[in-house]
Amino acid sequence: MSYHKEFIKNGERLNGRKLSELRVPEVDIGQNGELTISAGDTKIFIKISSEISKPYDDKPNEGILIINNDIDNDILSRIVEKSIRKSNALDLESLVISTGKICWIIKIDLNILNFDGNLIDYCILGIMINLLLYKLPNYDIVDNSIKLYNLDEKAPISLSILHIPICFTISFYNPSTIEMNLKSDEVFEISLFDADKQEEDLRDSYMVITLNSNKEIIQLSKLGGIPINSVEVLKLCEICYDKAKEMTQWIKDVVKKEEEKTSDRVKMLAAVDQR
Amino acid sequence: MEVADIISISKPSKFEDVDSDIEMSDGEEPRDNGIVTPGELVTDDPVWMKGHGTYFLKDNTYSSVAGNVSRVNRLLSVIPLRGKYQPETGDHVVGRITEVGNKRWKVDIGAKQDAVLMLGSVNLPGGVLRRKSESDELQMRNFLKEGDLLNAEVQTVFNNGSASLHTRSLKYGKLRNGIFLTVPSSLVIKSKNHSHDLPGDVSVILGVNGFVWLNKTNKSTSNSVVNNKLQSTIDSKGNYDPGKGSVSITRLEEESSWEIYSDKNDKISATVRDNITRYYNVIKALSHGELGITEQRINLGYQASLQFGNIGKLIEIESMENICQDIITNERMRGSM
Amino acid sequence: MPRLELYSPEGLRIDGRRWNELRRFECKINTHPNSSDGSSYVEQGNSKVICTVQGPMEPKLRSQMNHDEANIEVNISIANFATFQRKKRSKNERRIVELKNTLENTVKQCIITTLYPRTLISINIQVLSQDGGLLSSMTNAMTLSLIDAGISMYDYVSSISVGLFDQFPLLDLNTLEENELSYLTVGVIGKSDKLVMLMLENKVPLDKLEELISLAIAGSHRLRDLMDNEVKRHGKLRLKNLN
Repeated sequence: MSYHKEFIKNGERLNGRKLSELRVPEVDIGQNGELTISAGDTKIFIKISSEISKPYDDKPNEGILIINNDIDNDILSRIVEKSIRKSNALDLESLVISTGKICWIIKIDLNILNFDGNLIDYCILGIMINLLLYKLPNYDIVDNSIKLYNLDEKAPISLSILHIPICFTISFYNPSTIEMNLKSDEVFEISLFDADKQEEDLRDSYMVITLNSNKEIIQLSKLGGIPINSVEVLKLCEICYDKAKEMTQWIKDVVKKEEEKTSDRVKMLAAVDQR
Repeated sequence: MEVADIISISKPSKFEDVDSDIEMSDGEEPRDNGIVTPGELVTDDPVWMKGHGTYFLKDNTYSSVAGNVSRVNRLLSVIPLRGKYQPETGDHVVGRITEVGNKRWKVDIGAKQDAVLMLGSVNLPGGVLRRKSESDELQMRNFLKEGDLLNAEVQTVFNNGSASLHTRSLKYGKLRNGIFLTVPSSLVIKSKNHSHDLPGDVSVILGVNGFVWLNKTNKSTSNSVVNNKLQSTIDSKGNYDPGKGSVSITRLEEESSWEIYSDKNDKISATVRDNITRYYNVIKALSHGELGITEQRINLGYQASLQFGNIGKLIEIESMENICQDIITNERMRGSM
Repeated sequence: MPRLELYSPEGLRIDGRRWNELRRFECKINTHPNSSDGSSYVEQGNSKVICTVQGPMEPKLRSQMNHDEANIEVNISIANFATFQRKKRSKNERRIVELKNTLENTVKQCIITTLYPRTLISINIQVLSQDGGLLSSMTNAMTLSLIDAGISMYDYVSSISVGLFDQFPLLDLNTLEENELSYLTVGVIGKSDKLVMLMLENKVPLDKLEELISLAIAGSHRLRDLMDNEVKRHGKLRLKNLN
């Protein structure tokens, strides 16, 4: 394993990427709410479903968002919650149909199909794309009951996404001794983005930062691990912001392309109907 | 943003005599009677050898514990103010069995790791010349089981700091007829003899590890060959006399019966119980007052405690301090401080 | 309900402090000499935390034994009466597990674990009163009790929280401020600028991050000095008693 660390110390990675280079994810979009995101060998299937329900008693004008994880990973769950729920990426107030009585529950189910490092970043990426594409069935309120229309009967409603959080997991490697790291003034630690499984096993610690293109940091977690100079941390945040801007644009392109495909399909079906 | 001038505290710090420490910067060497704390630079002179309690980077030596600096010859070390008992070869310790394992017992002696007591290091009933057999391995619990107390001597200390014990002498072995207590290991001063007979038919074993055993004096293995009380006080002061205290082979044969591993306690009279309790509280008082524990001080403390008719009153902090004061005054008067 | 004036135009906070003032910090070490190998008690404002350390000692389970280094275990218990409203907390609550993992990973960096192979160091933290700065008071108490136990450490870890009110960074938040503002908690090694811990759970503009971190580091350095003073004072007292 030490030969791998030597490579990293020289700024090279076994997978050929540069230290700050991310993998290009592939997104496979299925039916409404089904999405598979893969990057390298990491593969995650995300399913979004919705149901009508009653809002919580203490939050009568908010809908409900539930995020489920099929693997029992505390850190992944905590960071996904902080990045998406706490930051209010999905506007819960828009999910209310009738205050205190009827609202939507949005359920997000994460299924990890294959793991090759960096689950957190890709889960959040996949969830956001899926949320942006997801369509809620349209409805009418008749008397005191609600009538739902099928997705092709009446134009479905998109979810109200207030901002797009992008997450980056940065892995740190200490190329020398602990004493050097703690007492020396020079910055030694090597940081790399988007580690695969081998690189994750070797790393000394990591930091997870979520931000959006509005130059806001949603959350930052460096929970122990080798100490990093604060100047380095700030530098890394700046790099992350630049990447976040690119990612946001990429996400918007992916969403736009998919929507065009769907509207083409609808037009084609409508044309068939007319005949 | 200037770091130095933006931080303040809303209330002034209470202790004015630490002003000198606040001024101390990283580059100075602390005075020899000063305390160094973890991360503090002790010296940047490369000539020193780095001992315990320090770590280094290039020429700089930093302290890793809170304690005082010790500069002996060319060895620089920091002695921590508090620490766990460190076993050394020859220490007489009291321990408790925690585990019965493959041809060995694990013994808790209050160190960083449990000590090991090999089956071959104990006296097996039936005489010193008896050989270990297969069935012994399977019957280890009949000798010593989890929870038993014993006193032993540290035979060796391994590289990783754990100790190996032995009880190959009649003065060592399973303990009975008494009560167990702990004191900080730093208060037990190492001496030639750690088992003492105290007036009132009580004996005490002061383990170097801070584990102490107070029991009713066992007439047959009392700490002097001659049952003369005066003689025994002189002997236990540690005067070396070759041959004294050793027993003949025939005595060994008698005593290496199954009795040495018996769990049965003798009947102890109320007066002896009272005495044991009084000694217990006296030792606790010495521990509270952070005085080194010696046989002499225990005796002085016992005398001082007699003013309290109710033994239970001795557990109060006032009484404990009273006793410690008496002991110190007494020692000063005797001129043996 | 109108928002409490967390930061008045004159620059005063609700408890009368200025933006760069720490709350009253009191600490004691060796508070539980009979029941632990090292102990400490920390008060940061109204937050009160007790920490005790057992070890290095024989691990309770074979599985906990690591042949190269010490194994470190942190247990956190927050009293039911610690917050304004009585609340029963389960040990497996997500937040508590996250804090426990954070503290374990933080303290592993500072203890010279290779000196104590095959042992267990068990750290128990009891929170008596919580008024903001939970993670930071726990970290500070933990550092002090480890020093009291005589366990070899590379350096202090001091920790403080910093919040953002509009454009103004505020040092050392209490509960009222934490509920309203975005804040981050840092853990700093000794007198350096190196961060072993950085936790930010709310939205903060990226441009403000530098200001917040430098204020937090300065606050942590000040706390480290206060803790160091107490350790030295206690040490001198002990030496005097023993002689």
